[in-house]
Amino acid sequence: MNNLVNITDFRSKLFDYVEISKKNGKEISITKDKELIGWFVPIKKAGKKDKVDKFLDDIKSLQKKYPIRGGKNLSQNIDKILYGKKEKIFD
Amino acid sequence: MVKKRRYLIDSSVIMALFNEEDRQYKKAIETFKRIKKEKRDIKISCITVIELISLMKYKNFNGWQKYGEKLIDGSMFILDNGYIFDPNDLSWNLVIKKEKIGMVDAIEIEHCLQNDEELLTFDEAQNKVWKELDTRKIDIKLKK
Repeated sequence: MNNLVNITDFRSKLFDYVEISKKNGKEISITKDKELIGWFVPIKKAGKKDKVDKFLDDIKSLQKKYPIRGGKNLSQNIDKILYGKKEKIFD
Repeated sequence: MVKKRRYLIDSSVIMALFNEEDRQYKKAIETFKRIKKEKRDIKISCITVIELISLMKYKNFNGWQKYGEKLIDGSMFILDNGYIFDPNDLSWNLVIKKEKIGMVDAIEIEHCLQNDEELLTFDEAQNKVWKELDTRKIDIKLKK
């Protein structure tokens, strides 16, 4: 069996083993007098992507498939495009 | 400790992000990265969605439906679907009194003030009015 660790050794280097286990994502089996007495199981990372990263990735994918060629000033001209050129109506 | 307010996003920020040619494209990316660090939610008004979808469809952008779906699928934005209009509203007063403010801009400003949210916009005129009104202590009644 892999990752077998003696209880004395595990206690003395507890944080080292916790770190190794987390890093490799593997279970550590703890023994005493060659008998299995327990094990340490690291919490697996969910691996869930942040929603902002996912959103930006999704938009990037859309841009590859459907590039928007709106020119340099589109974000500043939304009202003008949708509602027409503003006329001076205020005194 | 002051609670971080939720953002309400304007169409200018979204359009800058969707359009890689836009002068404000990089600023839009940076804005979203900042929001990620801040761990703040973003709300979008149905009126803003209507504006964006109308613009993309009117400009005949391919895939406008797909971009539109990303706005309303709930994965990134909290969609605010309700708006009741009243002539006593701040937004109506704003649109009458502020020359450079459009109706949607005014509604977004009012929504932020009413819900203690922060406006996220690249529209200079809208941002100017928002800054004038955005304090938690201000009496939002306009000076007549």
